[in-house]
Amino acid sequence: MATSLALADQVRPAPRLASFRLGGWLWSGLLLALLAFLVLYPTFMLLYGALSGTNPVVDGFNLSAVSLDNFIEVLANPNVHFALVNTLVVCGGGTAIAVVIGLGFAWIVVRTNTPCKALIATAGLVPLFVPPLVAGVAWTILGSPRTGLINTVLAWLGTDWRLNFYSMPGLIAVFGMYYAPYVYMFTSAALRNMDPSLEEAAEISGASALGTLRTITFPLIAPAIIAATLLSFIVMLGIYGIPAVLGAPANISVLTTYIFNLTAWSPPLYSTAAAVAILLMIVTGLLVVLQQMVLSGKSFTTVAGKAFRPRSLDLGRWRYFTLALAIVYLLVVAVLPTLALVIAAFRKYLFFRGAASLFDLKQYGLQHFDNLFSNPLTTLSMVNTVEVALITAVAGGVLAFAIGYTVNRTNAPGRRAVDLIATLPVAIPGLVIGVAYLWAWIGLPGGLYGTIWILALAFIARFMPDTVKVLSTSLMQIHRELEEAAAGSPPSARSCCRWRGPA
Amino acid sequence: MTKILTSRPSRRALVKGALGLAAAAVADRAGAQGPGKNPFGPPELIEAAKQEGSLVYYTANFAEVERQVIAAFNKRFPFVQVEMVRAPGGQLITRVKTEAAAGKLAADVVDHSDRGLMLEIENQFADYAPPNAADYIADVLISPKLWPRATLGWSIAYNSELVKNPPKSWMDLTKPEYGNGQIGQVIGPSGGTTWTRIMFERQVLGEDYWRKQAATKPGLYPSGAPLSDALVRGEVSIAPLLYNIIWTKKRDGAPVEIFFPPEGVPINPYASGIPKTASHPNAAKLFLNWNLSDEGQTFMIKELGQLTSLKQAPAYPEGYDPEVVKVWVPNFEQYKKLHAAWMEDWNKTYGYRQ
Amino acid sequence: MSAELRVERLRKVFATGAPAVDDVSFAVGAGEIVALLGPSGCGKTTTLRCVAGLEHPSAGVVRIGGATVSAPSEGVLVPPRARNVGMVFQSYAVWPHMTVEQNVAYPLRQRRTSRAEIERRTAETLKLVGLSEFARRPVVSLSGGQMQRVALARSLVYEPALLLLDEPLSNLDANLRLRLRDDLRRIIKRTGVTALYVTHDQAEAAVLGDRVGVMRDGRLLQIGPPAEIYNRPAELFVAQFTGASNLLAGRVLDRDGEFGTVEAPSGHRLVAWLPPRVSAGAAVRIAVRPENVRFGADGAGGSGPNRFTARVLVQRYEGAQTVYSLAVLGGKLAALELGSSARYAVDSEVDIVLPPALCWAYPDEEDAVANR
Ligand SMILES: Nc1ncnc2c1ncn2[C@@H]1O[C@H](COP(=O)(O)OP(=O)(O)OP(=O)(O)O)[C@@H](O)[C@H]1O
Ligand SMILES: [Mg+2]
Repeated sequence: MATSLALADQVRPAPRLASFRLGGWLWSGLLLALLAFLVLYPTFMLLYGALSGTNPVVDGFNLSAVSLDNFIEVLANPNVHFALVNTLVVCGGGTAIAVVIGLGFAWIVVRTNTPCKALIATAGLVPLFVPPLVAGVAWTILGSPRTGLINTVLAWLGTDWRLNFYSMPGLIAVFGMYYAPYVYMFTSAALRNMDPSLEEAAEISGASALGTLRTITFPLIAPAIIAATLLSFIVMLGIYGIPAVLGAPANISVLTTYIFNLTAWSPPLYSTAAAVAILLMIVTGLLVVLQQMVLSGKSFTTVAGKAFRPRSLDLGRWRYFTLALAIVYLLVVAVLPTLALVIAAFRKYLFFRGAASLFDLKQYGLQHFDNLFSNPLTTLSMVNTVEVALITAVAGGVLAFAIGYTVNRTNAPGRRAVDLIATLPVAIPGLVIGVAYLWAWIGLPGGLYGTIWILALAFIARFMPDTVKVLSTSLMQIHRELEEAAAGSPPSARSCCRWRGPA
Repeated sequence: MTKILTSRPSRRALVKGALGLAAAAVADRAGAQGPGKNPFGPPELIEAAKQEGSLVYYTANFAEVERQVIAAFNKRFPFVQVEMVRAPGGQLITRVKTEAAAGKLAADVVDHSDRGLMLEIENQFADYAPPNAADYIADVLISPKLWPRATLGWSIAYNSELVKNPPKSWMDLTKPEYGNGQIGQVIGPSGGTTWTRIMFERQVLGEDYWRKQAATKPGLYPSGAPLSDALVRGEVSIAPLLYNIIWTKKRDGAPVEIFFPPEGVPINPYASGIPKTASHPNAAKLFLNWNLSDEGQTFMIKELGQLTSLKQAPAYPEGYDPEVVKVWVPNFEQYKKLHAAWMEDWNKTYGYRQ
Repeated sequence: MSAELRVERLRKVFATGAPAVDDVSFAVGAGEIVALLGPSGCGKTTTLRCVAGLEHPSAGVVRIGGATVSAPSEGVLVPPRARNVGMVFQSYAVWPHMTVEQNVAYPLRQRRTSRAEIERRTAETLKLVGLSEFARRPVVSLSGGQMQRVALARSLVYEPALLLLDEPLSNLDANLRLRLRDDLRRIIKRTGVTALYVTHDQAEAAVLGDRVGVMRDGRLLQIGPPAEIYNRPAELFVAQFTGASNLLAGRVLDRDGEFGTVEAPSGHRLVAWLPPRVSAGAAVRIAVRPENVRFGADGAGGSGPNRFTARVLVQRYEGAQTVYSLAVLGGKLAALELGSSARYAVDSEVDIVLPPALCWAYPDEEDAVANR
């Protein structure tokens, strides 16, 4: 921390610049070295595997084996094309829905007088805490075309309507719902940081509420919207759990599930998987660069260091409508899936003769829990999970903060590279990254391999992008000037902090 | 159908049952010589295993199932702690290969469903034979290092709540009346057991069986576990499934019925071995000895719904009539040779994108 | 084009705390500039926003050009865009994603003015504020003062009936503030628009306003021409807020018309102006502006009232002026002498005159400005 604060000083020209410069290089060098070990080295192993078509540990390194043949073969494979197109459609559609939901939420929370806003603001973030696989499983229970709870209830209601979540639209809907919080976080921060008098000026100038939204609000938060759009697209690219569960029955493969299948088939095609993973990483890398360009091009904050009085639009009776929208969202992303999972956990068998059998108490019991807890492995794995989670949270949090701070708050040399590398793991599907880590770290001296430390290391690397992004968003909201002021340095000349006192 | 589901005790079954009991009795007395007297190995081995106290067990089988096996093993030998590592077939093989190459193979026992894949890494394994080695069907033994610890057989299951006019044979699964996603299938490339089944289908049921079956537009599932769940939930109504996967669900009350089709029951013996680098070789031997013994096999048959590769089965699973059921074991040469080309055909026929 | 503004018994209560605006009534004649002056938090902005329609008043009536735009009791609430007012915000509120020209043309676009007309009027207004050559620049490339001119141009371009300005100069540095202050009055007067100007700077209010209204805690204490506010503050608060920093305690001996004799604790007597509510016997405090303390016994022939001899305690030389602290009437008095040569040394005796019309006695219980 002390070091990064020192780096922040570079923002102002200071006589001790030279020494900071050196410290900056040392610091960036340290971060880059850590990232090289955590991210670049495994990625390199993956690349080698993809290009050589071999397992680098088993077959040893042999640079002459490296060729683009494997890669070209993968690029020519129509199944890869199919998965790629599906991926683009699912992520594109999902992103569109996420943007609509996320923007709507941001607007409701920041700009209207909808009741229970604090609750809505929290509800909007709930999906962030739902693992994709869990979301996927919950939605099979709810949305399977033949036996889903929703369809069971629809049948009981006597309608002919049926929902099929084992489909492209189903996948898109679930993606959109669960990744809306990314858009919400970005755009609500932008909206909150926007001087409300910009909009008031438009209204006084004669613009209608909608006209103001169109000509002032949207263009001003456009950088945030674009950045959020790209981010949610990037995150969706790397999601495995949801398409694995919802896409498989309809034979819809996306790149991540295709990669998984390649490793799960017998015999496994790891180097093909590695090649597809590299493809995915390239796409993601390009998008990350694009996102950074958008973010660095325009500033989020219009006036610095000023707390704006929240401007809230009086929606009149419509505020109950917006409240209802928020409740419906909460219901759909959190309550219904939780209910489904609870039913699944307590029900002996997930077969519903009809809606009535939902309430047949004879069908419920604790047998799954008995099985779970009578099993010493469960307890062991829970202890392990908690341990790994703790290590990951602490070490990963510290690292992510150091990275986020360096990238967003300092002029440290090489911070762009740090950001890019830290974001890379988003692009590598968990399974392939598992192999990459296995290949990369198995040769580490000492007894690291086979302990939970190796797991923790893998998790830290895997979840670094998410942690860094979340921290960055909050770091971006605190304007630098506020921090400088807090550090006791004079606010810069263009600061708009108001000074009150006798003239 | 009725014939299949009632377990009519046959003469042979009775004999086997008696043998199994006798074996257990002998083991209790912990006799002196020969497999009959020492079904799990000599006392020195048991003592050495006790000294080692634990072993690491890599398996491609379902964790739920293997947990029960370990528990049963521990009932007899409580002093050997078994740490299980479970991974899907392809990943398990890669892991074993990688770890072995790095000199960090942690496994004392490796257990895999695909004998072909295991044979490729045969040289990682130490020579090993259980005390009752001679009791095993010679056809299923592919290497002196690898043993059919588990043997799984295919059956057809259906959701009894949904299917009022159930199929009775493999050929029935080509009938249009079961069309439109009512049938679920595990994808061909999922592993050794499914490869055995689709090989059976093509070799025994006819060259165009796949085409006719695929015409019913079956739902495709990546492996048996999600398919059996889907069957119980009613997502599909009918599915060829490994008997052991679905039988435990039926036993616990799920609304399913299972039968062994008359045309034949493809069986898939696993391959299990002890790596040369095992750090608990004696515990590993004891573990495999027990698994391969009459007692171990009986447990897997009775409690887990598996079959056995023993020449004389010590027991039969519920609903299995040895008079009627024709067991089908693939020719191992063809099992290896045909795989690539036939799998491609299967993927094409079923429209599965590998 | 310009219209009269009438605010009657305006009241605004927010969900939290005391009323922000409490029973405020005033009128701004067509073409007149009224400056609302008061310390931070007194409700100036809220009043202005109620007039603009950005805030919904709790009670009272707002009329612009005779038309009622806000009357909660009758359920009348005209939205801001239909009030035909212009507003200049403290934070400029120019739109950073547009050029200078686009900013200024925006209100005309919203009014579906013809393209030629938009061009003509935009150019005309930019010329008025002196930004013609910046028309095509992105607005973010301008300085603060220039941005504020853009904001002004934007609020004038559609010739609103009423112009509202909320501390438009407070974000600028002191020099620029002085210059723009004069420009602002000139420009407003040239367009002839009625203007309501909010500020916390009394000099700004005096220069800009045809009349000045002083507010405190949501109430309008006094409204009148600057000279009246400066020379006849109705309350001690007004006197102090506009710069009468000297306070002398005393008791009224007798009252004669507008004036009366006050006895200081030291026994000295002086003649002071008394508001009507003060009668003989009342304890008072006399407010005197430092710049109204006259030096020397000359002038009124040496025989008028309120002549005292003081001793210089402190002399603070400020270049263009000198501030003295004088010991007189048993207390301290600050006095200001203009000019760059200070005439009185520390410890010297000096004769001073406190002109009775510029000594105002207020009842003692009226609280003074706690801070400003
Ligand atoms: N939206 C609001 N919600 C609650 N209280 C408010 C709101 N707006 C203003 N107030 C309160 O009303 C009072 C008057 O505020 P106002 O902004 O009108 O003051 P002001 O005279 O413009 O002060 P300043 O010179 O600091 O701008 C303050 O006490 C303020 O806290
Ligand atoms: Mg204000």
